[in-house]
Amino acid sequence: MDDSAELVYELESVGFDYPGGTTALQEITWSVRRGECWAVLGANGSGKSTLLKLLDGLYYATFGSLRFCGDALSEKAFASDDFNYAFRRQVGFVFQDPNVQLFSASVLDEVAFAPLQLGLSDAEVMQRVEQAMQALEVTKLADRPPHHLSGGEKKRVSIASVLTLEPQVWLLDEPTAGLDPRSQSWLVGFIRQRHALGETIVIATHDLSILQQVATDCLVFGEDHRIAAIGSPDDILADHALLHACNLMHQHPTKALYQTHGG
Amino acid sequence: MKNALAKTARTVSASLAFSLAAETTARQGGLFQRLDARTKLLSVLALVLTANLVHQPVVLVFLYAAILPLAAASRIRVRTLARFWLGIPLVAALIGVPALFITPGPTLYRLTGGLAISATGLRSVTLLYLRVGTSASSAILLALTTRWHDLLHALARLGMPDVLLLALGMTYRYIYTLLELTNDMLTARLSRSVGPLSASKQRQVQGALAGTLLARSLDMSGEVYLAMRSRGFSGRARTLQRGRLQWLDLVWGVGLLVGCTLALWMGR
Repeated sequence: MDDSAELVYELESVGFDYPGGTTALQEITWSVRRGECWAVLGANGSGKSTLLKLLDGLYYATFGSLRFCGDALSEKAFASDDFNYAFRRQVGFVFQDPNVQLFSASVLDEVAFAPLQLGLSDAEVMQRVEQAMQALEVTKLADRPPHHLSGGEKKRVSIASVLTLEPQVWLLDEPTAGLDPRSQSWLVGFIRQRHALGETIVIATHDLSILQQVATDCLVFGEDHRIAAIGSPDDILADHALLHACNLMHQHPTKALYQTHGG
Repeated sequence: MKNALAKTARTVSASLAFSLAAETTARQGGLFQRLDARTKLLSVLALVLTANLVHQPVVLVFLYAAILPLAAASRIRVRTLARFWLGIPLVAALIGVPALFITPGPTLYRLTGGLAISATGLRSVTLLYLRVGTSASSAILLALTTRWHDLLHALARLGMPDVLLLALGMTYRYIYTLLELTNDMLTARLSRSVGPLSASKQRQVQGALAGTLLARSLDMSGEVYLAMRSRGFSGRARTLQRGRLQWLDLVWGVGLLVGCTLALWMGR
């Protein structure tokens, strides 16, 4: 970890409660520096997705403070168009469910959506769209409606639609969920490529198989919505007691069941 | 009610299949597919207006019949078009049946019970059939030969506000996502059904499915809004402008204008 690199995110005792009082995050103190690649690990419902939404300024912390490059991420800050556009140009969020992210009538419209909203000229929009579609190998899908795409194609288009922002920070929510092995392998390659370019990456996942391939650092959530551990992928994967406690690893009960029932 | 769930599942599957078939038809290299979406949109408007302003059934028959060679030139299967070309006007004509008896005019045919078909009534119902047939068939021709996003771009170029276009695009997009979800839920439920379900049980299942679908669509709409915000949407949408008029659009436009003017003059 390069401690001299610029701080991208600073979280100080951050907590988040959903309307109605359900607690999603408690006492999160954590920081992300430029060029790091973090894996946020945790069982379903532990708060990983909520944390990413806080980092993308889609939700605002109920408690504590959250800063991006020194600026507080608050509702007041996003009320300013200048701040909103400057932030959105730097941070790209790939949602877990591509159906949520692909809301336009065609793939081309989808990929063009972000640069259009950010006020780029038509020529620059088309240039970014063509580059992103080539990089993600989805050019031939340009005129297809998103509901006619396969799962792997939807994921590629989702990423292309974020790549047109040319973000310096990537937030990926369960990126390998529902992908076949070839698409998973391609995605791991894509994340490594972005990281090699010096971009900052935060991945929420409970897929331990990709951890060592993509992440430089890990943050583990406990089921109490608090940070259970922070460390390198090797250290975290070696700590089986931690992984069991956080519901990220579990012993198959088959043998025990057979023994109990005399099988 | 015996197989209401299975019937719903079949209808949903048929809708999804129709969407795929329409997408395939729109990619064919037929006459209408080669035209710019703006030309097609304005052509359909011109045909609908002409059909509703013409008063001579003979001229309307000509317009109604002209849809068939246009569909053939656009590589639309006769079976696909027939459902709309015959079905929709037939329903309209059935709704208009009382007009046969209540419209004042010379009697054409007297039925038992004091009922009589008037010549004016028959003419009104015929005009209704032909007008609905021409209007609906030309709209179907547009829908089957134009991809939805091309149609949206055409509307954008014709001045429709971007926010409205975005809403239309998303409506179309999510109809199919929700249909797929409905299909999955129905299939999952049917796969766990052993033996026939009673009518009340089927109604119960349908109600539960509708409730779940509503809850899921509400959840999804919230997530979609976040996904839009994440990519810079702040309530003022901007969409791509594309599509280029070609010589074929010009030739077609002039031909259609002449045809419609002639029809209006002959059918006044």
